[in-house]
Amino acid sequence: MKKADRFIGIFVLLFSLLVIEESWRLHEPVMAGRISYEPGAEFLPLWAGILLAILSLLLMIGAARRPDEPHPKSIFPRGWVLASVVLLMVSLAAYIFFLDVLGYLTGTFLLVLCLMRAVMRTTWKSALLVSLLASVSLYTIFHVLLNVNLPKNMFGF
Amino acid sequence: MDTLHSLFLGFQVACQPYNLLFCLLGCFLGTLIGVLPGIGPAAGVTILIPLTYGLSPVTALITMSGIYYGATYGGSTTSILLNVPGEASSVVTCLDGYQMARKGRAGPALGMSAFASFIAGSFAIVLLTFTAAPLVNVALAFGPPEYFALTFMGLTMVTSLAGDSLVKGLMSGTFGIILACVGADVVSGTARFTYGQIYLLDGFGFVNIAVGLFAVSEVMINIEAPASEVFIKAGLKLRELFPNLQDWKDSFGALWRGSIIGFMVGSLPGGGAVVASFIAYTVEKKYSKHPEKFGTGVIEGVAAPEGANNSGAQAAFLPMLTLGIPGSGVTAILLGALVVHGVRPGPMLMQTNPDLVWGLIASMYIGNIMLVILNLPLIGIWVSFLRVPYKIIMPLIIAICTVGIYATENNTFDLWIMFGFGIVGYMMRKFEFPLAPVVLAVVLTPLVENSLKQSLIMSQGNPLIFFMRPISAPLMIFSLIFLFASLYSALWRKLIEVGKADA
Repeated sequence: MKKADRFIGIFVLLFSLLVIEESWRLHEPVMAGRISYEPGAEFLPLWAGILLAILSLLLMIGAARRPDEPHPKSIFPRGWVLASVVLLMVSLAAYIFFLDVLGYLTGTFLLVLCLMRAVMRTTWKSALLVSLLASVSLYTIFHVLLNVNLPKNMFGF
Repeated sequence: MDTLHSLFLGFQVACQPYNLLFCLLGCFLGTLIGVLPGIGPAAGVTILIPLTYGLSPVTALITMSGIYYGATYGGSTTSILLNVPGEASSVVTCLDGYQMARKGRAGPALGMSAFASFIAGSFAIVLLTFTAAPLVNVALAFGPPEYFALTFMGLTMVTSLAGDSLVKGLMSGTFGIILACVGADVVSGTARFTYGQIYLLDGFGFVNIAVGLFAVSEVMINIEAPASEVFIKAGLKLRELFPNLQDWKDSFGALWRGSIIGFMVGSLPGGGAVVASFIAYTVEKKYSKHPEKFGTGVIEGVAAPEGANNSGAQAAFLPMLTLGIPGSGVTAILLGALVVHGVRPGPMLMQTNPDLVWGLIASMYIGNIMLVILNLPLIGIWVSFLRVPYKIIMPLIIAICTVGIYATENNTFDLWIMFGFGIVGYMMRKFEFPLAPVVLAVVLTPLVENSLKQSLIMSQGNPLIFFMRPISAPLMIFSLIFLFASLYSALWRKLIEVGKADA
């Protein structure tokens, strides 16, 4: 965790500096003649940003003071497992991106099929069966029974 | 008498067939989530929030609460049979439960854990019933400064949800505060961090954050390290599940001590079921005449934590219902869900929505009975659920999450937020940041900020107002002491570690 803490510490520090800078810009000068007792919109995010910056520094100092780990291991998976996680993210992103074009039924069928077959590596038969059942039953529950407006493709489903 | 009258009203609500059905559904799903390792109650409840939009707030709350306390029942099953805790709250149950199973006493261990859960859970609800109304009466006298002190106390409790690293817990909490700032500022109307996106004026949306952080990232983690699919061969006949007279004698003390500890720890903000189970086990070991036998399969070692975690789970509803302060990650999610349903949590809740509060409390009496029935005669069914492959469950969770999020606002922008927070949650888990403080802060921050601004307007800008009023002063002092005590103890531990390393 030593290396990981140092890495994430720098990342969070940059994030908090961004928050501080953006909050600073929210500051609006009080109009002349008006007395304002309450803190402005920038108050909370500004202080939260400062606190986060201090905490990220503490995290990095803590990591630096710890003795080196004899066998530092990577916290992220490698090979096939990493590919599965990335594939899950990519297929979910693609699903959201194309949802309005594909329509709910087709999109969800393809998403579950892709997750089952490519990410979970099941057989084609069970992948097809589960994705068909899942998309149709979710469509029935939400669209038919609960009257939720789900995205439709140009053919109307 | 008032309490009994209200409770009677609650039973009228809870016993409507519709609510009974959804209570059963909640308990059923809760047990299922409890049994399946890898899917926690936080993820379970968040997935369900969008699915309950069509329901009335009472029914929705009854269902989601059933999942929470149901999961603490189910969690012990795999702890005992497989040495794999189904939930964090049943980690301690593994110690003696699994050893009992190895000695061929899986039946009594499972039985005792169900009975202990029932007894302690019912004990906690009775206490909850009779402490809720007096607590609300105190809270009704609250003005903005008191409310600020209270919500501020809730925020400092983040430290107790922190887990291993206090700094990381505080970082998660601060991150939650920043997330809650996104959108239009309630007092001045200034848009914060929206970057011209009209969708962001209302903020990220609690459900989008919660589903992403808990459910989507849970699937990603499960892909990496799939929980092993194991088959259990244990003769689980109903008769074998009943503990014998000696077992009852041995566990009697553990049971009532566990119940009381569970209630006290659970009703504190930041307590909850997990901490309660750990404390109860430790106390039981100290009290025992034969502490050396703990860990070798003594029944007290099952009764104490299982009693405490159920008592704690039910007691966590006390601060949530009376003060509007979430005590744990899951109750924070439940509070967020209430807001989504248009109910404003806080001390007024019991007056504005008595049917909701008392209906929920009454449903917990009923739910406990349902859970004993679900967990004893039907234990075999739950064990067989362990054979449903994760390869099917994980894609289904993703599909249910997306449709639920889409159904909320009917736009894909929310799906992108969910997706983003899925990745954030995955990264946070990988870098060992606790997730619960984030949702706690997201729920509490708007309350903190509003009451802060209102109080400062009241006092014409003098921050000492928080320390000059009779209720807010002790609350503020308590939270400051709590905050600094946990910082101090964390530093102290570090010093000892460094000292040990030097020696």
